[in-house]
Amino acid sequence: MNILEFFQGIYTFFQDEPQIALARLLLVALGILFIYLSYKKVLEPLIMLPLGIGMIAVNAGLMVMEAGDVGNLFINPMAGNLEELMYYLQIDFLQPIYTFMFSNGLIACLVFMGIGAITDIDILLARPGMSLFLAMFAELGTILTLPIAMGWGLASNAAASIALVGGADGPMVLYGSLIMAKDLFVPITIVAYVYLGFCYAGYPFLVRIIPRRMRETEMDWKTIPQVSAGAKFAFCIATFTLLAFLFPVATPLFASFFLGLAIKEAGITRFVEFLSGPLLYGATLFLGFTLGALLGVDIILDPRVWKLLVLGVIALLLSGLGGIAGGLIFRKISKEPFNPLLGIAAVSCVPTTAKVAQKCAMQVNKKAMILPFAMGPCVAGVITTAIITGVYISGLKFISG
Amino acid sequence: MELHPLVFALLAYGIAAVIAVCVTFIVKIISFSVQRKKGAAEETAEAEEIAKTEDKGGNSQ
Repeated sequence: MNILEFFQGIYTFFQDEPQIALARLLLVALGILFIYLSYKKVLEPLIMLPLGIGMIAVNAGLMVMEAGDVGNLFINPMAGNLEELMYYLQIDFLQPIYTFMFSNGLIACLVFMGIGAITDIDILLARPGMSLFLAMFAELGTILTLPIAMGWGLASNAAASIALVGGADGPMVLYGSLIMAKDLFVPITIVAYVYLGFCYAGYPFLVRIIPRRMRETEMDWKTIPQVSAGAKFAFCIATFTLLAFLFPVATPLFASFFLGLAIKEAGITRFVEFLSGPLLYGATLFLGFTLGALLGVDIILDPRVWKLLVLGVIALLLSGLGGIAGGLIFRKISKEPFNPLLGIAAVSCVPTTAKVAQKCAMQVNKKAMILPFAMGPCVAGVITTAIITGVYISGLKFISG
Repeated sequence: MELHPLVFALLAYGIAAVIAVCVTFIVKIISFSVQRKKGAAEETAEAEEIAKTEDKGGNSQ
């Protein structure tokens, strides 16, 4: 009798091939690192802390199953036929969440509903031209990463999915990759969330390419015209109807976002409280935990994952540079004082990039209050990313190679 | 019909830009009609106010 058989997590470690055992150790260490960085608030704790716990759980907590193979009691994403699926639904405790909420994109839609309920569209409606102009520039990474990824040997579906990281919207990347590249949705979504966490730390360095005197520009937020609740509500319904006609394949995502937004603008406070509290945070918790539990050794041993890591950085870097370029161009054409830092807000990771713009402006000029303006391009970025997601999903069949 | 990845990406960008312009127009139209409605309501209120004042004036004479 081997005494280690009592401690299955360690026992299975010695049963594995060396590279698998090493990959398990690496993932456990990475999980601990994510937890530490979440604790220190370097990474977004709402998503990265449950993700880190999930990673440790599935890579440390492996055991010999009834059939003699090594497995865990969390999820089996490879469960194929109905009989197998029914078995795992009764054994693995996160399997119901994966089967009924992940594989159909429901969890992304729930998060988006919550985001809609907390999104402020006042500036978008007060300054639609400026907001959408900047948002289009900040989609540079979403656009250019697709041909770059395909040139590097990725298939069109994987390339389009990783390109969406440039849009800096976690739920959008999850939804898009689930539809376009189901075999890679776990690493792509994790790459997206990890990098989005680093945006808050990384973009302040990137915006230093803007001359200091421009970053100091003050904008008078009292000049922003008031937008009525009726106008905001009408905008939600009109824009959603247009997008639903254009991209039925991405309509669940649009519907979720605009439902949240419409409920907020209609002032249905009970629903707003539910969407922006229990639903948003409940969905985010299980999103992070389940993603972590899906991050097993098979993911990290896939050679495509290393390419995804590089492409994710390229996508966010290009989007950041595009946003900055948009800000500088808009400053040239604007008749009013304009702070080009608003360009970085258009990368659209709501509300992180808007906060980054404000933080960078305050670093050089304590009186520069640009946050109210930054929310416009930030929200516009969500809409342009949703449109590009719809175009990619609908048009994937037209890409050659 | 098959497109080169770069051509497809640029096409996607073009489509997104056109839709963004459409969204801008939607916002402008909504803002314009809301403003007009508000203006019309204000004008009506003003006219009523003037009428009331004139009525009062008439009575005092």
